[in-house]
Amino acid sequence: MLLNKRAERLFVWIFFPLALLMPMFLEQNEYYVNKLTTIMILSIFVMSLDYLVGKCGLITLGHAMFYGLGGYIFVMIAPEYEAVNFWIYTFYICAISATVAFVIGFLVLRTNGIYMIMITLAFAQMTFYYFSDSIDFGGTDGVFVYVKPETSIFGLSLFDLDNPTHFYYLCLLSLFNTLLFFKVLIRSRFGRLVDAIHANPGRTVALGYNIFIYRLVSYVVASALGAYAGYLFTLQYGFVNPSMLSWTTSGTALVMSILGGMGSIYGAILGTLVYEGLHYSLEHLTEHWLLFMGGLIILMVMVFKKGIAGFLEDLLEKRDGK
Amino acid sequence: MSNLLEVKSLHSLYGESHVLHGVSFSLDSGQALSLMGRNGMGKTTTLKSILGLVTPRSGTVSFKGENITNLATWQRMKRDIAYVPEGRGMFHNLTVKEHLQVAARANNQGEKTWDYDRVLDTFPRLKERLSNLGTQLSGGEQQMLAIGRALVTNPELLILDEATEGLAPLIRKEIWEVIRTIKESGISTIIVDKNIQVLQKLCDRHVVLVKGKVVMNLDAEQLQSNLAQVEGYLGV
Repeated sequence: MLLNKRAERLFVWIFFPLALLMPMFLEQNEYYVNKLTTIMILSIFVMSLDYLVGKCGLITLGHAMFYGLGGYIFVMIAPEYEAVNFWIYTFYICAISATVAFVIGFLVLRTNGIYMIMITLAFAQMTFYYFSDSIDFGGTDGVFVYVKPETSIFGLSLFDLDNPTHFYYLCLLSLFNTLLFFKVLIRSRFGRLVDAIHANPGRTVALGYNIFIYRLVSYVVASALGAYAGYLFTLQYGFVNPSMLSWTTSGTALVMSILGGMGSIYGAILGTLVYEGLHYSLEHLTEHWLLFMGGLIILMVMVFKKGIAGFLEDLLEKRDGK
Repeated sequence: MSNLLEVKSLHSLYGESHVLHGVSFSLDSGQALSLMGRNGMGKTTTLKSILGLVTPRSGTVSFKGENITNLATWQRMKRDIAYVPEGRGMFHNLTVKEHLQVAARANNQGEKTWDYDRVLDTFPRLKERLSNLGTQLSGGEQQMLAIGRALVTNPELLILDEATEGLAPLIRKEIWEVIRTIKESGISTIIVDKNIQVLQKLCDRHVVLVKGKVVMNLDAEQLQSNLAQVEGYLGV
């Protein structure tokens, strides 16, 4: 079974139908449609990081580099005043970011633990400062996207990206596909090997596997998906700026992943929802919202030791008397 | 009988500590070799040096005539060598079934003599534990799974490090029976163990290590006539 945990099945069966209906309830309120769209985009990004950190054991503080690159690659290769095809550019962005990830991964994955954190952070900061200082890319202001892509396939256009509801559904579809993709990947032989490498790299090597290749492929796949999320974010807000590449973006995504339940994959959605929900609620209550946010995160991490996903799984198991 | 493995003058160190002092021995195809010695004499280090898990300072390891000394561990294992480590090395996040599925592959001749079903027929206990995680098994079951996981790679050489250590006598007997079956199926084996009585019956060659040096390298008959001396080295 693709969704092997009860809590996971329950979440998927509640979340996706509800998300499908949500724009109908929010017809009059574009703000919330946009907010939920951003949460879904962030969930894709956090999910790709969760796979790297929780499933592969590759702790990185440079994942935001690919998130930002998704946007920057788009503004680099797309004509400024011409609507390009969304699907073709999705392919280009994933392919280019995968190539970048291949080169960086080749160097980064020769290290692990704290050294890997340092090197990924260094790469991300180099990219951050490059774009921050670049006049061609608008420095800290970034670059605007004047014309959004069209989404036709064989003449049939399913989504109008200027319409927030259409964009919402495109992101929902992307999130569902990303979840499905990771679940299939994890259940495959490749996924089992990645699990084995995470649990005991030395033993997996002794079974005759070149674990470097498996880690590199995982890194490339997760980075390409991170870039895809950044591409969606750029299209949603119509600009890309260096803050998307900053290490705080990577750090926040890591907090979301830990909060949701590291390695659970669907927990990335939970973590993002809770984090963004708290963010939204607290920033409207007090100007010192960050202080309360920090306190609440500490509390949640202490209470939900296996993240929210792990907490829900334990709760259901206890209810069943296991 | 062709020469399968040849270890020549291996010197291995852990930091400043010189553990292996020129270990040499060879193994022919289809043979079983026992590596004996007291604790800390360099048995596991010898195995790890053969596999590349420890990088020897000098010396060579040749497998089927090919010098594999400079190859990475995974490349050595791909040449149809399998290793059952001391402590079993279970994957805590994989079930019994997944352990076998992940490891299963044909050997370099394309043979799949040992597959998932054959391992389960050999170890019927594992059949009842297919959905258990590797760490949710008893010591004996873990050992069976570790051997099964090595067998599904269809090796030409199987290396077993303390395969029966810490197991109940009945389970130990069962494991020895399986090792005998493996040997009879034509797989060459290197066995590290302390049970000289069983090794005597099972193995064709016997290497005794003392302080990282080979002090005796005997065939089965020579072991019989030098038994008291070997037992002395082992502290039996």
